[in-house]
Amino acid sequence: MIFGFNSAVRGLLASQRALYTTNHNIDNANTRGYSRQQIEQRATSPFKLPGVGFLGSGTEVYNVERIRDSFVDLKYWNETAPKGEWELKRNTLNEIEKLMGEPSNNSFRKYMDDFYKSLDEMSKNPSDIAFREPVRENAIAFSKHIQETAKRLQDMQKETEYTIEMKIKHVNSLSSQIAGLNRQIYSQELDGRQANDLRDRRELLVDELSNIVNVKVNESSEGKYDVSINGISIVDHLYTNKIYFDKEKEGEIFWENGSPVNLRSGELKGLQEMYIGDGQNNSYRGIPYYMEQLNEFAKGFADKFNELHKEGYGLGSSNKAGDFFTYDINSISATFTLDKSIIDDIKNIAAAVKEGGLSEDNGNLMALIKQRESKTFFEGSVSQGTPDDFIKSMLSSMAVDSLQAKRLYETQELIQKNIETKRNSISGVSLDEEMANMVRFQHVYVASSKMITTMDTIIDITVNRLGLVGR
Amino acid sequence: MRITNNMLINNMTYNLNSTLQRLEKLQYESSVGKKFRVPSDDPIGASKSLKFNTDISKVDQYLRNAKDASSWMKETESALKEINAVLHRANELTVQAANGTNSQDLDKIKDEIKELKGHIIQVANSTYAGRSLFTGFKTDKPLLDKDGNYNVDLNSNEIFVYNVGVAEAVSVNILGNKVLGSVDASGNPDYVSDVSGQTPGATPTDPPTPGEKAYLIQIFDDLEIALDTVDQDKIQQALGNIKDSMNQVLSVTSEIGARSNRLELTENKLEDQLITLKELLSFNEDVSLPEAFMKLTIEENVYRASLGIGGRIIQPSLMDFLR
Repeated sequence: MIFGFNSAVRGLLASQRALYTTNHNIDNANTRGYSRQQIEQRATSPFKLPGVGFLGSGTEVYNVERIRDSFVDLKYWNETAPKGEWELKRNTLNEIEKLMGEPSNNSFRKYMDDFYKSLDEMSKNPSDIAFREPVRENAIAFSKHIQETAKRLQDMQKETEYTIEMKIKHVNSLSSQIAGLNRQIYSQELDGRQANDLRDRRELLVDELSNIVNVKVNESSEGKYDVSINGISIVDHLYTNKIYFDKEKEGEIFWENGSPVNLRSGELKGLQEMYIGDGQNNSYRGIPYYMEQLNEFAKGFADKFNELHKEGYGLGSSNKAGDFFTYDINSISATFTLDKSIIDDIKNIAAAVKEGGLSEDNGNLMALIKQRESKTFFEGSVSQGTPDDFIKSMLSSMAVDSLQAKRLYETQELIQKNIETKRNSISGVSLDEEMANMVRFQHVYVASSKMITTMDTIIDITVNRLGLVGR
Repeated sequence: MRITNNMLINNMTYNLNSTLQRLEKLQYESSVGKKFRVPSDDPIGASKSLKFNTDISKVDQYLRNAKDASSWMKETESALKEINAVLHRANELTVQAANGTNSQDLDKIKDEIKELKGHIIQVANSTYAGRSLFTGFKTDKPLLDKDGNYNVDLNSNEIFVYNVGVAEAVSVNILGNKVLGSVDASGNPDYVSDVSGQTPGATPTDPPTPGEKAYLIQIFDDLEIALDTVDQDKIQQALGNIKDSMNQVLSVTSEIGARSNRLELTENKLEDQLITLKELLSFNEDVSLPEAFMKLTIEENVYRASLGIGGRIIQPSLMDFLR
């Protein structure tokens, strides 16, 4: 009789554990990185009754399993890194685009148009101060715009540097956390059962890490967990390999032992490329590239304009004019400004082509205006042609890069989203399912308790009511 | 495929977000009226816009230049017409004088001729917006002094030009000596050589000192003397000279008239260009409002629908049906 009791109690216990697991699932339905758990149940070893056969002895829960597909994880990590990289590039390029201000009334084109417009206007009355003044004012606005753009690019460069440092700190913190979890998981899993919730937490950390750097995860058969970037371990089970950033060495990122980190993708890669990418030797066109372009533009523009300006004569002057623009060769665009002689006295704008700088002599101005159309204004390797061509080519390469980054990000985001959906489909908690399970387990629980009542009744009858003869 | 609650919610938020992004873009487009706000929205369109905007700015400036040149020329033209009128009157008077009127009349004629001479000097010094019309680059100085001597030296290359096209410039001014002439070594008019301010025929030295007599004024001076001395031969000669000068003035007038006409054509062309360019720019970057509005309405409906459907799908669960 007692045998029946035992069997019923086992049923009760099993349903209870199943209910607890259901409860756990419902509780964590919204926990990030959580994967649903399932009990694994089996019938306990039967008794062999000679002449009867095997008599079932009830049930037991022998394991709580986590539903997760490690292949989907692998894909998730592989696709997250490029997503992080392109998201960053998209954002940075978008910022650069806004900085260039096209299309708006605060763009290079606008300032240059205004400058040349005032030159043209001045050519009609070069002796009148009221016609010279706008040239100086527009030239100042033009040079200020270049300066400001350079300044903002520099700021952006600084911000990027700061962000790289932050990200690296984050990577190092994540790797320590993963190593910490490795220790915990390893020691708790000695009996061969999986520490479900800790593993979820570890994988969540790898999720986060994979957004910043491209990682590969390898778990050995004895449970050693290894995370690597391009073949070099960042977490080797219990040990971490820290990375650090050295802005002195061209913004490279290094391992503890001093060898450079080879990044394939991830936010850090995006940041690094924006930080050091100068567009040379097939490198990405990052912030330095645009700074270089701006410098090339400022230098080329100033040099050519000055060259011609110096051919002319200021108003009433019998000496050739000086420079119009000036800059410091060490940081060209940030120091691009008007020559002191022009700022001090607008009569020094060389309108005249003939000595003496007569009132109506606009010969040099005409030459300066014509120069804008000169296809050989810029003769550099990257951009050639007129100043307008230069700006146009700078702008279109930026626009194309930005568009590419935007598209790649969108594609990558969609890919990643699909994988996430897949992951959710496998590991996510479905409340309906849990409800159904709850009802299912509840029924068994109720049935098992009924079983106990039944047994109880049987024993009651056998013990208390049978054999009244002896009383 | 197993569908979980969070999948539904994630999908819904993702889709709502994409719809909202499109809505936001359309909202921007229809409120600003432009198709793109950063070049990467349409790299080719943006670089086209760049070009169109610069072209518009240039053509706009050319148009202003053309208008200014045209005003200068109109001013020149009217000055020339006035000189012509003066010469007509002088011609009339000289004819009267040549027909042998009495000395009292000759005195009157002489007085009027003197007045006319003064008037020519005045017209020759006329200005446009404070700048002398006929003095080449030296617009800050008058052309003639009170005796009709050149006040400035005139170089034939002191013609200033205004831009009225990328490779098109128009010469704006007329040099005074082309109208008034100078006296060459043999006493004949010279409308071509530079006025050096030297005595006729002398080789210019540096720096030239103005002072050369204008030929037209010389005629008047000679005429005055002839009238004084009643020298019919000289009067006849003056008659011929005045006729010749009138022809010269007329030829210069027609030259500037021709220039003016050409400029008018250029102006028309520039105006057309400006309109075409603005059309192209608008076509390139402006949003067609009805289209944008239609799109907006469609997206709005999509948004409403997905909100409604999402709300209905994520709401119920098995719990609602369990006792």
